[in-house]
Amino acid sequence: MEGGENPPLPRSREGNESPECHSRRGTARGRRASRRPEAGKPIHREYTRGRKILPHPVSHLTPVRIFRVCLFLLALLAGISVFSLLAGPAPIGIAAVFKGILATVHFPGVSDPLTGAERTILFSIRIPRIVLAGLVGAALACSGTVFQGLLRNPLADPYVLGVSGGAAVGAIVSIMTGLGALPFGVPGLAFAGGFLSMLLVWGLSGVTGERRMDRTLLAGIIVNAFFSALIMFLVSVTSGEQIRSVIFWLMGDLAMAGEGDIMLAALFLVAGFVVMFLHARDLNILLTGEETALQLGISVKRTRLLLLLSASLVTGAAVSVSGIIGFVGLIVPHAVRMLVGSDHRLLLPAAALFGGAFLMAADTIARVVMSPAELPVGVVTALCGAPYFAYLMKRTA
Amino acid sequence: MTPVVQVERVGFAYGQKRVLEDVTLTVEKGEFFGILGPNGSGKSTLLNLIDGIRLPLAGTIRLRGAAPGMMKRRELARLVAVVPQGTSWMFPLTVQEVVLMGRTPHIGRLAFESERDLAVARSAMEATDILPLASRLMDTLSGGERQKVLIARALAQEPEVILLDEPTSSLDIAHQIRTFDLIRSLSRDAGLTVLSVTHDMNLAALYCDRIALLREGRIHCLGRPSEVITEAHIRDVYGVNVAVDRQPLTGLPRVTLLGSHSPGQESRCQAGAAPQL
Repeated sequence: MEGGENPPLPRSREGNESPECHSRRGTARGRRASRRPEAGKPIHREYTRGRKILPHPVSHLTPVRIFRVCLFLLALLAGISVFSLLAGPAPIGIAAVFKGILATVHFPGVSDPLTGAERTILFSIRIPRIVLAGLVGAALACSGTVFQGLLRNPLADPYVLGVSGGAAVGAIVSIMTGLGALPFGVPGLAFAGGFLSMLLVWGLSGVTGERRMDRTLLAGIIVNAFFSALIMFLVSVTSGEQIRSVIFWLMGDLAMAGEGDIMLAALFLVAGFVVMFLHARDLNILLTGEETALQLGISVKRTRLLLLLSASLVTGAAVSVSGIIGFVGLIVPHAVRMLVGSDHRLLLPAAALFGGAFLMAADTIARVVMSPAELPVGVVTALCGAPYFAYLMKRTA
Repeated sequence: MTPVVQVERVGFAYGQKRVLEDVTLTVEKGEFFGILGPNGSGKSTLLNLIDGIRLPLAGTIRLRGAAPGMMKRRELARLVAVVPQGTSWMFPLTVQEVVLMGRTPHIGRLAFESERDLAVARSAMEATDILPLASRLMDTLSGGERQKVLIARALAQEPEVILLDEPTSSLDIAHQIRTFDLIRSLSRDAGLTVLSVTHDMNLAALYCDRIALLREGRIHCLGRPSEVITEAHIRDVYGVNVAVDRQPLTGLPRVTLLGSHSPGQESRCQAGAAPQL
């Protein structure tokens, strides 16, 4: 090091090691003459010094684990959907339901036991509603997961951030102006409204490399309050059939959507989910900060934009068919993160399935608890969600 | 000798505030290069410029001949790894997950970690003595343990250049020495080029091949530790009095803090150089 030695001298290292570390690593190091490796030679071989690398002791994420967790959650989803299928004021037995479904798909040797009214209840009311609950729940849970990761804020979700509110305004405007008649009109404008409010939150909170948790939430509250007021204004100045009820947009309801709407929302959801899942690993790294993500080779701006777009798209699709359903996007990512960890390659699909199951269950409760009257499903999720939000806030503060 | 990092007449400013001016330095392959200077003298900004996080407003930066700002982030991440000062951990991530993140620039978008990726991460954890912590969550670790995780993550990147921003500030002396030993052996044996910001002059004297001393965004002096770490230079740059003599065992410069014994000088003790026994 000192005096006569020129700076980078790879070969003469033995003489001037500090004495402390010889006892630990010195022997292994001395065994082979060191050569300066060519560029691209793996460095790890240098510091393991030819020691045999043992099998990895700690479990890591594999496709098998993702498959297993998803299979388990699919079973949960199936269980809840069967329960939901049977629940309701009209008593239809489980055997009749299954036979009816099998007969409808022309399964050989099954005769249809259902009456006409029962068929209508099952196929035009309950099944579309269950499918819709599953889709909307999955959509909100996924976009909540993405917002939490991108903003590095465990309290973020599309409802709290005002993205749902913006999407609802977009949907109402498209219905009022007649643009909703165009293909993709309602979900398209809902998406635009959601993305706009996301940009507003982003701009107001000045999210840069550092964590500005309080400001993100504050910006979300401002945007959300503004859009909620705008929804009430728009609905109150529009009369007639054009706009369904204020309650639908502000509290969320799964009973209003038609089958065409559901198909369209499903399309948007799948598209958004594919983009999210393709960036799942990038999202993991964004959890550790934008500067770190850049240093680990993520094109942060591009990834962030794609993820914000897809999360807004998915939220917009959900809101255009169900109004604003709060707190699903908050509770579900948290619950799932506690169960499976923070790796988004597992977290995203698990949150989608769990979110679907959660909203199906919530909607079933909303349908049966005051039967034959119904609660808007948003009431159930908010009743579960608000206390949970308070708990999280208390814990993270 | 092949120059790996070439910084030529680089200037940078945050708005009106000039941070770096006319900085020129070249770091050779396999060199251990130290950057010293008071708080706010532009050390971290210089690292940011070399890593392409920020672009220089004047002058040029070359990494193996290419401008870092023009390279794809993924390519750059295979070339340069950064050990930041600290990161916040809002979400439950395990040590192993964080270290495996270092493999990101080597793994395809849809691929999972291969056996080799796991082996590299494992040996990086082994080298930094954090293998027993592999399944622990980041937010349950001490500051020093987290720092070692970040070093392991950088090693898992298998970079050719490693940039360290006060990598050992919260480590005890044993881990400081072990960490610097490890990094120096990588620079000697594997040709890893090291640029390290540090406040500890005695550590810098012990490990660095050359040192640049920054003062208000300019290079005050650059050279071997014995040339840079002198009483006069430290007084000029930090405005504090220290005694520098030769450590009897190594012959390296040894810095002893004297406190504010000279009238008229501000007594900001920024040097952070621990008195040696």
